[in-house]
Amino acid sequence: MSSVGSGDSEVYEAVAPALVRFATALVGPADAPDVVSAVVVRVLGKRSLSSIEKPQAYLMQAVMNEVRQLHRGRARQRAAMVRVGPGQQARDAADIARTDLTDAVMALPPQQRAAAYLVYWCEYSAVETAELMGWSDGTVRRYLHLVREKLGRFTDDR
Amino acid sequence: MTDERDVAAVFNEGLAPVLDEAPPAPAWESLQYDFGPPSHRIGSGWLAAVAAAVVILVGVGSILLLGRVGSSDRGEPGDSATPPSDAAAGGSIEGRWVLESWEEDGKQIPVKIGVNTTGEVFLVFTAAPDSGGTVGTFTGSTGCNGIVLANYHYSAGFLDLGQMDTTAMGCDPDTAERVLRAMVVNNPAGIEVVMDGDTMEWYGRNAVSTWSPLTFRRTDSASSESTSTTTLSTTTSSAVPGGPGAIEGHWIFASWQEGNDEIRVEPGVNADDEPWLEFAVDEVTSAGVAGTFEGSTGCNAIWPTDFEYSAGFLTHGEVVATAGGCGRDTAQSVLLAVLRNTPDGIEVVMDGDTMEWYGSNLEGASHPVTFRREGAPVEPTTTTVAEPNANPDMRVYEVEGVEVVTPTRLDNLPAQATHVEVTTTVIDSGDGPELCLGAVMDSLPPQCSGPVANGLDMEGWTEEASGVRWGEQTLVVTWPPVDGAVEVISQSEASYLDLGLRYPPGELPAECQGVATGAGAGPINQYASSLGDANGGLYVANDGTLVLQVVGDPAPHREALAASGGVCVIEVSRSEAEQRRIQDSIVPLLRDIPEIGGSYAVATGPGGRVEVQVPVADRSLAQTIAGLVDDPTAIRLVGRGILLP
Repeated sequence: MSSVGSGDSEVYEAVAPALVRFATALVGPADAPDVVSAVVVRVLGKRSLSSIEKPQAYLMQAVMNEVRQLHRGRARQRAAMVRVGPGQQARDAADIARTDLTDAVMALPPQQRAAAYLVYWCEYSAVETAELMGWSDGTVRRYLHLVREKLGRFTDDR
Repeated sequence: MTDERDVAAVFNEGLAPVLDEAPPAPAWESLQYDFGPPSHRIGSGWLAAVAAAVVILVGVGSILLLGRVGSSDRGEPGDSATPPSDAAAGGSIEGRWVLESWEEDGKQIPVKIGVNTTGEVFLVFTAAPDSGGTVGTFTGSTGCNGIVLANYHYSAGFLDLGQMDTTAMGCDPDTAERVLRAMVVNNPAGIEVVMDGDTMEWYGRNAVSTWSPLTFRRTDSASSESTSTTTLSTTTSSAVPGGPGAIEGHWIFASWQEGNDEIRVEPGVNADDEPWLEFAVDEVTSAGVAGTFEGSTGCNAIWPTDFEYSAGFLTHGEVVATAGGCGRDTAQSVLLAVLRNTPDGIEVVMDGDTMEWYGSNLEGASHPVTFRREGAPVEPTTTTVAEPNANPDMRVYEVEGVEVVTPTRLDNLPAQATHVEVTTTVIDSGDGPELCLGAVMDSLPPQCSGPVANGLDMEGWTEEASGVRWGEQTLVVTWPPVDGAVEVISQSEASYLDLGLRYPPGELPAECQGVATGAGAGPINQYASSLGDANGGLYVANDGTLVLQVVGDPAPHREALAASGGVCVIEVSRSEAEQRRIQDSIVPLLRDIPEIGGSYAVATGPGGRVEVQVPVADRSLAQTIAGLVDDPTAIRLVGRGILLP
C-alpha cells in the first residue's frame, strides 16, 4: 500500500529542480520531465517522499536507475530503427545546437556523465558524489578518469 | 597529462547548451493524474496512468517509427483520435489468459507447443479487492519459465506489468517466450490493451522485430473450476490416511523440491517469515470435505479461500494474497505458483503430520512441496548449503547490457554475492592459505595470489615443497573478501579438479546443430586470419566444436570451408580487432576493482563479446563494469564461483 503523505508535495518542490537538471544532464531536456515523473510516481507507489531520510540522494539514484533503463531501451530502439529505416532519430537531437564537444559530452555513458556532472558542474567532491549516488569513492574516481580520457582531446586547444 | 580543471571546463562547456534547455520540473499536481480517490492508490503501477499520458503526448512518434503492423477496426491503439478503451469499458482483465498468437510482419503466428513454445503461455491476473480490477497481482508461465508473482496496474487501456521476473530455465523452442518478454521489456511505460469479450490484444513497441499485436484468449479461471467435481481424480483414498478430514489444521510450509534438491523453507533466507496455511472444514460431503483455508506466504497474507478435498485431490477457489514487497520471497513464489498453476487440483499425499502437494510449480513440473503440521517435530537439518559438487545451474543474465554467466544455486542474480562455492588450488606460503582464484604458476611449489581463507583447516595436507603447502579444495566461503580475506564456512577435498570456468549448456549455436564440422583447427585459423575485419574471432563450444564468428553474411564462409570438412560459422556484430580494442581498454580498469582482487582474465569470446572472467559475478560487479565501457553489450562477464544463499 502506498500513501501520499502531507509533506510529500513540499519535499517534491524542494528537490524537483535539482532532479530535473540532473535528468537533463543525463538524457537531455526532452526526456528529463518524463524521467522525473516516472521516478517520482514509482517511488510514491511504494512509500511517502516525506518518509525518506535523504530524499534528494534517494531520488537521484532512482533517476540514475531510470536513465540506465532508458539508455538500454534506446540502444534497442536504435537497433530497430536501423531495420525500419533512416532518419528517425530526430527527437534525440531535440532543438539543441549541437557541437562536437556537446556531442562528446552527451555520448559519455550515463554513469560517467552523472559523476562528471556532480563533480564538475555541481562542484561536489568525489566523496560527496559517492555518498549521493551510493557508489564507492573509487567508482567515482574511475568514472572521472574515463571522462578525462574521452574529453582529453578537447583540452589540447586550451 | 590532462589537467583536471581543463577537463572540468571542457565538460561544463559541452554540457551548458543542454542545461540551458533544462525544462521546469513537472508540477506536483500532474503527478497525480487519474489516480482516483486516495483509497484506490494502491501498488506501484501508477506509472501506467502517467505513462498513458506520456505515450499519447510524446510517444506516438516513436511507436509509429517502429512500424507497428497491427490493425484494428477500432482504430490504431495510441491514436489520440480514438482513445483506448477504459478498463471498465473494455472488460475486466482478471482471470487466466492464454497467449494464442502474435503477428509478425503482417502474418499471424499461432502459438504451438513443440513448434514455438515448450508449454502453454499464460497469465493469471488477480485483482485486489475494491480496486475495480485496475490493480492486483499476476503470475503465469512464459511457456518455459514460471512468472514470479508481481503487481500489475491496468487503467485507461494501458497495462503496466512492471518488471516481469521469471525463472531462468533454458528451453527450446522458446520463440513465444521471447515474444512475450520483448513486449513486456520494451514497453515500460505500459502495454496498450484492447479487449473484446474473451479476447485480449496487446499493442506495444518491440525493438527486436515487429511483433504486434499479441492475442490472448480468456480460459476458465481456477475459481470457476473450484467447485467442479468432474476434474477430481479417482485416486483411491488410501493416499489419505486418516480420511480427508485430516487436512484440517495448521500446516507450516516446510520445503520444496527443485531438481534433485530439497530446498528447506528458512525464514531469513528464502522467506521473510514462516509461511503457513490453516484449513478449516465446514462440511463433510459424500466424497470428502469442504471448507476454507487462509494463511501467509511468509510475507503476504493469503485471504480465506474455499476448498474441497476429496479423493486425494485439493481444489480451491481463487487465491488472493496481499501484494506487499518482500525481502526474501522465493518460498512465497513457490507456494503461490503451486496454488495458482494447478487449476485441475493439487494431488495431496498425507503421511501422519506431513503433507505433500504435487502440482505445477514455478518450474512447470510436478515436484512436491511439503508441509508439516504445527507442533510436529522438525526434520533434523542436514545442511543449509547445497552439497558441494552437486551440479549447480548455469544461468545467463543481462545486467545493463552486460551478459552475465554464472553457476548458481539462487533463483535470481543477487545484487551482491554473500557466499560462494569454489573449487580451487589453495597455497599456504607461510602467510596463511591463499585461494588461487586467478592464474597459478606451474612451478614447484606452485605460486599464486588471492584472498586469504580464514578458518581453513590444513591438517593432513601432504603436498609440500620448500615450506609451502598446497592442495585442491572445494570451499564455501563468504564473499566479497574483507581486507583481503574470506571466511571458510565449509571445506572438503576436491573430488574433481575444476579450475576452469563453467559455461551454460547449449552454447553451440542453434544454426550449427547437425552441420558438418570436420574442418581442422589449422585451416579454420588460417581462414579466419585471412578475413581481416570480417573475422569475428573463434571460440570452442562446450561440445568441443570450433566456432568461427564472422561479421556479415556467414553463408559464403560456410561454402568456402565446406571442402575442408565444414565448420560452424555464425554472424556477430564486432570484429575480432574491435573486440581486442575493447579488451585493451578494459584491462587496466579491472585492476582497480576491489571485488575482483586482481584475479581476472580477459579474452575475445562467444557472441562477439569480450569475455571478462572473474572469481564471482554478481549484479553489482556487472553494473560497475557496465559503467566502464561505452557499449556494455560488448561484455560477457563470466563468474567462476557458485553463488549460494
